[in-house]
Amino acid sequence: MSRYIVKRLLMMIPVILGVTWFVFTLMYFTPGDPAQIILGADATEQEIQEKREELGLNGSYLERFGTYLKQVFVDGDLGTSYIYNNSIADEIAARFPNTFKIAAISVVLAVIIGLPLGVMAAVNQNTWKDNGSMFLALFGVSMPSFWFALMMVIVLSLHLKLLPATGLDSWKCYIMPCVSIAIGGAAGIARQTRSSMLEVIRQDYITTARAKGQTEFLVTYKHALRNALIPIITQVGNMLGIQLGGAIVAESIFSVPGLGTYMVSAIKNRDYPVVQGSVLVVAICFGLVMLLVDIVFAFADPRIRSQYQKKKKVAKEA
Amino acid sequence: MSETKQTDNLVSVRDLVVEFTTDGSVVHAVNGVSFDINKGETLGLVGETGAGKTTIAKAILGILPDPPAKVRNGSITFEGQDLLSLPEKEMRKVRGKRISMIFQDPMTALNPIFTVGDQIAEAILLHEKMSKAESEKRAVDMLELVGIPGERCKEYPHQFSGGMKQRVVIAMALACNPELLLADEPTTALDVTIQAQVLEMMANLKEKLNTSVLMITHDLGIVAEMCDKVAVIYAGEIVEIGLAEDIFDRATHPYTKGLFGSLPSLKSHEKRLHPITGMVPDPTNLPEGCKFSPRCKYADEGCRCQAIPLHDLGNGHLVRCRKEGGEK
Repeated sequence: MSRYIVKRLLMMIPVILGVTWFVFTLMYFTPGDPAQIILGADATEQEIQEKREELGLNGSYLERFGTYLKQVFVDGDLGTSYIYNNSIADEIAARFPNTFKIAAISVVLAVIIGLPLGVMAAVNQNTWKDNGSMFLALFGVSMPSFWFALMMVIVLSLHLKLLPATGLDSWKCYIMPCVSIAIGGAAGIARQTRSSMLEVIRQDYITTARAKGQTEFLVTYKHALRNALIPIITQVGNMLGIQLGGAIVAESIFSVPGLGTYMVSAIKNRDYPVVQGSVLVVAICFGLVMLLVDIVFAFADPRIRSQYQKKKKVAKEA
Repeated sequence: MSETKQTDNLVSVRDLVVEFTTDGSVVHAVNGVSFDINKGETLGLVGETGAGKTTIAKAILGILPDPPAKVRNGSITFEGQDLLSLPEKEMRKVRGKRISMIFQDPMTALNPIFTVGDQIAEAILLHEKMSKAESEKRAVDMLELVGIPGERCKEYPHQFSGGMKQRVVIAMALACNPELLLADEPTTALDVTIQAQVLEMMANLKEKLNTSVLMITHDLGIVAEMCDKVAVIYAGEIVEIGLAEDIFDRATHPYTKGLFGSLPSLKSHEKRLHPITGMVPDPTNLPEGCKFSPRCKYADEGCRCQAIPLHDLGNGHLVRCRKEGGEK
């Protein structure tokens, strides 16, 4: 297992290099001159040229890419923001915990809501419980998260004045961003859980469990759900990975100082190093989450676990 | 039937009717089946695929999927208790403890994510007053009883061969010393050599524990080897029932005769098999009168217009044929 983890971590290196190259190239071809944006509309041509020289924007594509690679992977420096003139690594380190907290809370919330809903729908297939919860789930996946966010702001902040509309000063500030993200996630998890459970509860081993005299609750949650988990874990992992990259919509609406707002403003300002640095961090996070998902698979299913063990044995013999 | 036999009665099924409702059409799976199993006795339930054999066993254990299945009529009495009216909570105490079932397909009957030891111990833990450690020890003993080394209890189903999985399923079914074992084609999925081993093992265990068995099969060889009584079932009805030797020596119903006739004989060097012509009737649209009449060469108008009752040939040998197999 540990051999497998090391192998997967090594496999992330080419992925990260690829992402770096891709984002660098994309930003290189994006129209808009950072020097012009920094200095404003009334700067003279000479000032702009000096600024371009200072930012290193006048080199060739390969020169600039080489400099950037050396800076990031040799010096371990993500660079300095064009606009704010501060260290990008420090800024990401300050913002990442906010994004992480919101992502983690909304994923947990989504699982707590979505999983039982999906199980209930599957166990009561074609009854009002199934139809009702699947209608809710369809509504949840169909409506965009910003709509939920705006509705909550209107009702809870504007009219009832229960929750603050912006910022992250107290625990109350986390409620609306997390809920707005969790609704869509919960709906997706509920639908996945239902279809995955429906497949499992028709299996013979479920009848075997009933024939032993096991209670319906344990038949459902111990025998069936654990077998239905693999696609659900994938879905939850995807959601976590995406949210760690910053919930751009929710962070923008609620003015959360997270990765999402950082990236959006950097893209608007042609702040190339910030875009590159944060995309790199997001890519690494996503890779790690996917690795985590694969490790969780091994815990959830002994057949997957034994695959890793077999590989290990073969590797040892070789 | 003599008085002494009555007291030995373990389970008696009377007029059992089970229907499946799917998309508006009703599948008549079991249509008024009655039989008794005495203590220590083995009843063979023989019939084609789809005749309703498994449905009967699942109805006894109360694990028919509802919906779509529904027991419409009849009673199942087990040691004086009517299982059909027993509340679910009480029924759970019967399931796996006093009545247990061996399932047809060992490849799918075991839960892939639990060790076989845990799966056997689960039944023990549910019904016996035992600690977790004791139940695990008992699970190991059960594995060894069916000829699997005890140290393999920590392994998962995918690490076992088909024959071994079937042994695990049998160990699971026998773990709480059931009074009635419902064996649903326990050897169909196995190689012939493994079949013989499993059957021998079951016969030995049955002798040791004095368990009654409902042996569901379409293999007449197994019936000859294992069963005291035989019920031949066709389209959800018993067409012939009696002691095994009576059925084998004096098969009366044309369908039973057809079943025996379709076995290849090694002695007569015949080149072709003799199958029963025609198909099993559509269970959503069963023929009126004798359900076998469309395939029966002796059938006439009288067979097709009225329901045929079971006719007693003596010695508990009943046949559902008004012509007694074309002899009248």
